[in-house]
Amino acid sequence: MLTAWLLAGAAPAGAMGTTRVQQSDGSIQLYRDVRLRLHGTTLRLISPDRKGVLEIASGACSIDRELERCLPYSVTFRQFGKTHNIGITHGTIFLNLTGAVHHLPHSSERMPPHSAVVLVHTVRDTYISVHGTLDEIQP
Amino acid sequence: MNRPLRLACAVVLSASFPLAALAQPHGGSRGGGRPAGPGPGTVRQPAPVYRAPAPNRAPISRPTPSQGGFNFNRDIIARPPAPVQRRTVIPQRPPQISFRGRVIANPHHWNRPWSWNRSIVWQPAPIYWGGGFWGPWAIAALGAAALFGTIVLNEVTYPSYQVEADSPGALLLQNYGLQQTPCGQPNLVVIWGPNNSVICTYPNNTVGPGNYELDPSTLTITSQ
Repeated sequence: MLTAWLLAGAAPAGAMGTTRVQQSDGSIQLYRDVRLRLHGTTLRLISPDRKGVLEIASGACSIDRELERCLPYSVTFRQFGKTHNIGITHGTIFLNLTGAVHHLPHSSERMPPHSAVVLVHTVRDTYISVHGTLDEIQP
Repeated sequence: MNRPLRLACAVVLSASFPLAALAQPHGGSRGGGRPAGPGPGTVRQPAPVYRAPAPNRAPISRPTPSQGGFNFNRDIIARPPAPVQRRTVIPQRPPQISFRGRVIANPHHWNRPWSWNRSIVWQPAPIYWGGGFWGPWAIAALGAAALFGTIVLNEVTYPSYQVEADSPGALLLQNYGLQQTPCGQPNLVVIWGPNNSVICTYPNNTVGPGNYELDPSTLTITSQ
């Protein structure tokens, strides 16, 4: 649940995720050790070298079994001192904010405690997928 | 022919007969498993080679992975926006209906606001039909095929779509024991949801035909 608690102290050391970006030209970039931070209903992805930040704002959060499911509606990309709005068509964010492992709905994939699974499709036909443990959770 | 002369002839012949020519497939060859080539006197065209079309590259300097950070170059380069084929238009104008009738309490009796959502405040996500209340239906991806009837009110057409099984809207229907049906028929329950969305159901003993407004916080409906 997106309740008012800070996970920073409770998160496992080096809690991080993997981000895969597949652009319309077929190129695929895989970023490991991406930091995932949840601030309210905004998920912030920080690149391994901390130069790039992707902010995914979401709404329509509801409980789907034991997981929280939100719908992303805007993506802001900040890097090299510039800010870009990336238009998106749709996506889904699953959050496991419990302390237990749960299955993704209609899937055999298991989500560890305090983790996120994200899929976003942009208007430029880029697919962004994220798997990982949340580094920080703030209200 | 003496030996030096034979040697000179051999050199001249080999020079005028490039080895590459030997490597060419011969038309009409048999037993090689290849289809027969063109007959003598025809010009052999090279076989067409499929090459994937080169991607559209704009002459703009882009950040590359070597520069660090993330690479979203195709999403941030300046170019005209991609044509979004929005076949469905969601009206911006809310329905001109006054909902001051009876509040039909949710039979599930949720005690507090948002208790149906484990105290998470539900807020609409703008790019989805109904703010995502009825399911993750992106407006950009909605097509005529997915249409589940329409409501025409004051010359404004409000499209309706099917409620997703795991959505908050499905919980609403489950709580009231309602079954969705395409809008457009008479004597239906018409529920107006977030962001000018509308769905229709058959009436039952709890909810009679007519227009209703949804309160997402308590998951209750109010009649016209």
